[in-house]
Amino acid sequence: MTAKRGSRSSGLGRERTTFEWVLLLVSVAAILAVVAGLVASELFGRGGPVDLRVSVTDTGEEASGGRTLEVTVTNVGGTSAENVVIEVTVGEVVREITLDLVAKGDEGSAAVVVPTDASGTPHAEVLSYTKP
Amino acid sequence: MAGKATTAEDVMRGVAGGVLLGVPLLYTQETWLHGRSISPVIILGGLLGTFAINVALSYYVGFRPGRTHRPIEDALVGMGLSVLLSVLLLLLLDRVGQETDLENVLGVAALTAIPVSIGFSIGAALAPRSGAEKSEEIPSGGGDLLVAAGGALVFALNIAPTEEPILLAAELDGVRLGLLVVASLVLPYLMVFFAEFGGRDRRVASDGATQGPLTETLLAYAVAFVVCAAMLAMFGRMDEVNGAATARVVTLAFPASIGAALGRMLI
Repeated sequence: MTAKRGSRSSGLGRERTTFEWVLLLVSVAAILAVVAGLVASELFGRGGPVDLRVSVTDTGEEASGGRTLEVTVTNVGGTSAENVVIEVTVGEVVREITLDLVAKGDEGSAAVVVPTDASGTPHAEVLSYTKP
Repeated sequence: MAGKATTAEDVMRGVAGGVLLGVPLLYTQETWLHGRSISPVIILGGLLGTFAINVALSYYVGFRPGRTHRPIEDALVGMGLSVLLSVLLLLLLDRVGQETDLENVLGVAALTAIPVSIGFSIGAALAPRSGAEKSEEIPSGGGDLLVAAGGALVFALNIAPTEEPILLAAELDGVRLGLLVVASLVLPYLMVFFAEFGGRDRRVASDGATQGPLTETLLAYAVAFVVCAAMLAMFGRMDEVNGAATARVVTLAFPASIGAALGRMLI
């Protein structure tokens, strides 16, 4: 940490200390990582429209006065989707849920509760979404 | 002054500035959402523009006391460390994780790093050189805690009525809440007693009833905690005392403890 003094007051002529070199190298590495990552995302990232895949799983657990179904939405497209509305159907029972955001490459999940005696295979589909 | 080598205290001053400006944005849902949906080109443009601003700020203010004469290098250090600090804070608040797509991690971290880096670059200007001069006029250690309460109130009042502390508290697990308490103690301690802001020596040497650094840090956090509980109760977010309500207070007490530290630095 003992800095050699070069020019009178500017500090430009002073040699950097080990601490300053480490700071500079770590900082430049962090900036390069972010910039390279963002450039790579733009050039080689998945492009195209929103592409939502929905899956629904019956947990078999009774809670909240009914049976809980877990709904997972994965966005495999190249654009994020907001206000994603999903309809879940079990026999005659219909439930609707909305996810605020399902970013590109990410997934969102929610749960719906249906009556315990609802029969039929759970089915879920995307009704609508908006683009950010 | 300008010829001095950068020290850990200088860096902590920048970190303090970054936290002060960055935490309110971290507690904003739109940051989490837009960081995942804005085009990488736009975020890169934002980073480039911010870098230019940081070079100018580093020239005139900087995170070292007095004018720096390596503004580009200081701006690089400020931005680089701000990116790392943003990632750490986002991990702490569980806004990014292993399951998050790398592209989205980069977007949110880069967006958060913009205000953090601005705060980093003006770190030296955040507390006056005359800081703590008034502290000797404060009767007993209770005055420090009153100032801490004021800082906590001002800083957290912007966040308390919003949905974010409720959302975060519901999603954070016990480990992260524990880490948040640790961060709420360590960061203010470093800001008030380690970062070389004006008046630091007076604050460290002060021997009021509650003014040992460790005691003061703990008491200031307790004050911030009570202030947050009162604010949440005022906004109808704490109808009863249970685990969920405690998690909300812990979540809000993080920015409040930063505000409490700022209050103590300014007096």
